[in-house]
Amino acid sequence: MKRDDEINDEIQAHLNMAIRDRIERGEDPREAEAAARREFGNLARLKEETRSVWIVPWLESVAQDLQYAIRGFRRSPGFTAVAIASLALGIGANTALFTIANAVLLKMLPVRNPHEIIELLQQYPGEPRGNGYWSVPSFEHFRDNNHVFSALAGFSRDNRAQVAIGGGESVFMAADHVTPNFLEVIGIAPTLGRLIGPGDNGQTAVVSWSLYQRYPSILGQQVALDKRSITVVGVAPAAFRGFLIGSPTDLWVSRTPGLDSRMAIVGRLAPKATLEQAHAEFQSLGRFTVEELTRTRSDPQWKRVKFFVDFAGNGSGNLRGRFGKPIAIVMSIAGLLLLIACVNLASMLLARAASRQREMSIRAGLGASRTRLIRQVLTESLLLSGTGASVGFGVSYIAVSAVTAIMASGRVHERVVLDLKPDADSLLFTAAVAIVTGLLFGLAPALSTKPSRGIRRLGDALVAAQVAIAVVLLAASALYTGYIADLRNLDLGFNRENVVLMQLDGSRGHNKPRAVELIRRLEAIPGVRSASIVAVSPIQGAGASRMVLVDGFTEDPDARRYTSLNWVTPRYFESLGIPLLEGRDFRFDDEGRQRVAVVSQSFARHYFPSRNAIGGHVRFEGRTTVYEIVGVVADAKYLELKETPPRTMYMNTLQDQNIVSQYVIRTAIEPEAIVNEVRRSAKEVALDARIERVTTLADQLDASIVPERLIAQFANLFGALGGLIAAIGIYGLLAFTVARRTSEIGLRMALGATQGNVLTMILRQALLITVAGVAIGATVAVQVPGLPAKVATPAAIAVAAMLVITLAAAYIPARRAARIEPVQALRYE
Amino acid sequence: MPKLDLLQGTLDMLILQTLRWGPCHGYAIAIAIRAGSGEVLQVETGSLYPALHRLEKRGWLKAHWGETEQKQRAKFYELTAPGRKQLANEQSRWAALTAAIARLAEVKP
Repeated sequence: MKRDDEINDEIQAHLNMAIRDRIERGEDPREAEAAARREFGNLARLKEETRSVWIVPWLESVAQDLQYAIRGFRRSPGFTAVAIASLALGIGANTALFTIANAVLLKMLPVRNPHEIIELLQQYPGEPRGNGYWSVPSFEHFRDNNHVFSALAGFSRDNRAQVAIGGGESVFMAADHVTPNFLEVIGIAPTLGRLIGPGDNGQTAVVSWSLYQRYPSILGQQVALDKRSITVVGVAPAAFRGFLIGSPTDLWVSRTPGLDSRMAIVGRLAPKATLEQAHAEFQSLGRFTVEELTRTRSDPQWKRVKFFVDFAGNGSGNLRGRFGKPIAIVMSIAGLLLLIACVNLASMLLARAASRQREMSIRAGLGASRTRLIRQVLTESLLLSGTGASVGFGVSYIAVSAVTAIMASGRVHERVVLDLKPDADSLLFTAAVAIVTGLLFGLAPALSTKPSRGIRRLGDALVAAQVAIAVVLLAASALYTGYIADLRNLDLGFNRENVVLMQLDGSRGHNKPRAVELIRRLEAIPGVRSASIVAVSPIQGAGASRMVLVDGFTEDPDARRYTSLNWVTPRYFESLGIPLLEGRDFRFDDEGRQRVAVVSQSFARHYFPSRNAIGGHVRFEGRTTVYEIVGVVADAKYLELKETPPRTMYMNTLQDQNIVSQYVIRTAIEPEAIVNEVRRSAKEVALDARIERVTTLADQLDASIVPERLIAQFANLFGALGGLIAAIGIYGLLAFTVARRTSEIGLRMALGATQGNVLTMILRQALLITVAGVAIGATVAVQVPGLPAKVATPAAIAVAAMLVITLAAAYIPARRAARIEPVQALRYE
Repeated sequence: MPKLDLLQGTLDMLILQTLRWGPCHGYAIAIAIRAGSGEVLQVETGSLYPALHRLEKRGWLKAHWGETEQKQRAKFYELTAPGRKQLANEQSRWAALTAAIARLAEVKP
């Protein structure tokens, strides 16, 4: 604007002076002005042209470059499509993983000063992660005796809180039972109403924004929560989904005073305290908990529990602990995919640039500066990466839902609900990636605007690099495929195939006579071999355990360990394929007789090192009921696939007052085939007992290895894509070489070279490049740290795959070369 | 004497040449070229101002606002050091060109 005014003033001054001169020469003032203006010609155009001196060259040349680039890409649609597709996949995958990493690992909770928020954790020996599982006295002790926290608050999560709104049917919701100060300490302000206050005494709740959206009239209302009545006093902000990332809270309920269930503890660091100071002080505070626990329990392991203070401004660390490493691994694999796509594009653009050398020389001859030519090439690559990124952003939507779907396929207690879409952060990330990649793969062709000998060698090196990266990707893919296969083939002590699991809600309509009747009905379904009931099925991920006392066995108090407990019906071992080693199985007529138990082999070995376990007597510590051991079965895993099987003691659930309610059905046919029949039988026999879950044992096992499956699925996909991209790279390079050397090949053939000679010559080039790439890739692959298993075999598989892929890709251009007609080729020159 | 339009590219040189003697505004430059050429060369204002701005942008001229003797506010241009160097280049190029043309003109009948 300022420049426009200046130009106006400048021209006005010129006019003024011209008019004044004319008047001084004696012209009539009015005519003088008209004449001066006439002399000027078209004023508006003059101003426009003058102004354009300053702006047009830059803008116009960018527009020109763009137009030119688009025209170029239109001429080679195949190249452009491959380029955009590989970029879109690479950028899409990276954006998706960034979106998830951002939500799970990086993003702060939408609360006041999130960097002050901490969580107090304890880690039981042998457990992979710390957890927050504190008694109320421990909480009060920490709260009243610390010097490092400005506030502490507690909450306990109930994922199956039964909530009835407006007198309706009750539904399961995720409720956090919180100390009165919890929401205050976390640092949110209510969007509507108020937060839970100190005088609420377990009679109020604050609901999440999404629950409020579903029941807008809920604010101020009474709702029934686990059969007590509470008042909803406020609504939390929409952005705050709760403290547990991946497990959104529906409502925060004021804890009933005197409730003694255990809690997680969160808090804020005091203004001048550091995490290290807090951690140090917490070591002595934690002794209170050890003393408290050793008073009531005889587990010597408690002396080895670790206490620590963890930063939690980005939410509870559990999800980070489980998915942090898998996400990092998948992200680095995705990074490699993007890198190989970039190198591939660089090599293809380089080949294009080489074939455009003539065009570039002409343009240079016409006065284009070298910077201008470089800019042209960079415009092309940025246009490609920009387009690829736009498509990739779309791809990331699909990829995010694919990843969250895998993460949500876990076991009930580990299920991760990430209601996630690529957001503004993701868009920023995509834009940054687009620019960096555009510059990255545009660099080589840009530099080659100046003709030089090194370029052909650079082209070879770029293709070798693609082969190397592809080998790493393929090795990762083979590695994780093998790893998953190993996990699926682990000896678990039971037979995972052909087992249907059905969990009934045992609280109503399910009792002993009905259970026995249902077992009969299930066993009568065609295709069913046996049916039985169990409390905890294998790898369900939960279980009961106790210290046991065995008659005639004394134990060093420090060596004592928990025994895992399970309650089953007759034929359970048969249903799961757990071999009975000694003694007998449970019987229906055990009911009402002396209590009996079946123990696992490792139980028998530990407690009966030199005796026969059959006939031995066991009781729980602190209880008087004595169980007589009637059988020994093989070991089986219960918590995790990778654990050592626990010492297990099985009891006959028919001897107890209440019967457990998970049905285990072994089939002779595909388990899916009988699911409907199983459901129908349950509905008819157990009447109003709700069916909570029907699954197969194999699916339940898969649900326990979600992080591993996440890595494996992406490693496979990216490995395949990497291999494909490298094949395109080899093909492109050789096709280009053959085109460039047509006349040379023609000459060779005219001088007597056979088709075989030519074929060998071209394939030799491919082979040399591949071998170089494979050697580098394999060297890198075997040195990647932190891989879960030996990488030699996967690397060998990758190398073999790569050799096959490259030779296949090289064969087409090589054959084309061998079919060159000498005469035609020479004329072509 | 018929008036001649300026040859493409020579306007830049003439502007630089004119400014050797000190800062000048656009109108004065146009007058000076016309007068200096004995009224032969006609400067189109339509090309003068784009040319001035182009030279300013290239750094061969710098400009400031001032007042003429008649108290007219105007934009004054003056040569910069690179401008002087450019003028020398153009002059020698011009000299070579005219010398060549002159030689041809003499040889040909």
